[in-house]
Amino acid sequence: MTPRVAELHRGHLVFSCGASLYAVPAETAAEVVTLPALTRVPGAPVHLVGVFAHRGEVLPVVDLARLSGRPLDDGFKRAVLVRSTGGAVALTATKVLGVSQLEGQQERLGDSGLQAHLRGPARAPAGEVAVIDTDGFFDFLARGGA
Amino acid sequence: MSATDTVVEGVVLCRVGGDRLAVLPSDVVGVELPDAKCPYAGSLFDGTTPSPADARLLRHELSGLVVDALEVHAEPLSLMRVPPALRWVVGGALMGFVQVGGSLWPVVSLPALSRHLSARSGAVRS
Repeated sequence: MTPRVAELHRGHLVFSCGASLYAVPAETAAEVVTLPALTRVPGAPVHLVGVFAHRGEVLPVVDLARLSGRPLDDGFKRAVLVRSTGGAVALTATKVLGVSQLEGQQERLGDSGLQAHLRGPARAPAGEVAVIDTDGFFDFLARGGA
Repeated sequence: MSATDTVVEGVVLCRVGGDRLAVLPSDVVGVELPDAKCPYAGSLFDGTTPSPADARLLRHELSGLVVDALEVHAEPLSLMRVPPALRWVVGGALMGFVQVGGSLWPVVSLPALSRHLSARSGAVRS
């Protein structure tokens, strides 16, 4: 078993955002939160949909669907709070499917944008998922998500 | 209040359409009627036109910023830190967030924001 495949066998929190499934390593998923009314941030790009205060900390809410350039959906009510060395963000979630072991590969799904920070193709019981490389993803957000 | 947060001695709370922002009173040298030469803060939230009745210009040494309405909050407030994912927005002019009336207000440096808007409009023109 190669190291990258072995990583997949660790638990991952799987969630959907629109029609797509994503996964983050379970140890980086701090909690699932119900989103309160969000505060929009001046000059923020469309995928940074707002911020909210949570346990004395300001958390940005990132919509992966918008970051992928898909049609806007304001129907999200929940988010997965992900922590990494680069901080914490709340990722909008249409549905949270729980922790699963994944099968498949951890190859980069693209060379630029969000795709450069997604790994796969991997499979969860619910279907094919894109695994978020959290450290790279946080660095990508800190550089403006472009 | 977190031990690492700084405290600000009051803020100017600004309404911009349905959105909010705040500036430090020390950044403001005057409040005037809108000046067409100064940018409207709504452009930061996709809005393009100030509300005509109550709009005010927050004047500072370099330029100014037009907002729809404002009020002064004179009490000390904890300035909550900017998350790393947002440090780059508005050219780094975002200083933090304060909580007033149960809502978060983004606090911006007025001079830094004006420099950012001027550079942006210059880039659009060129």
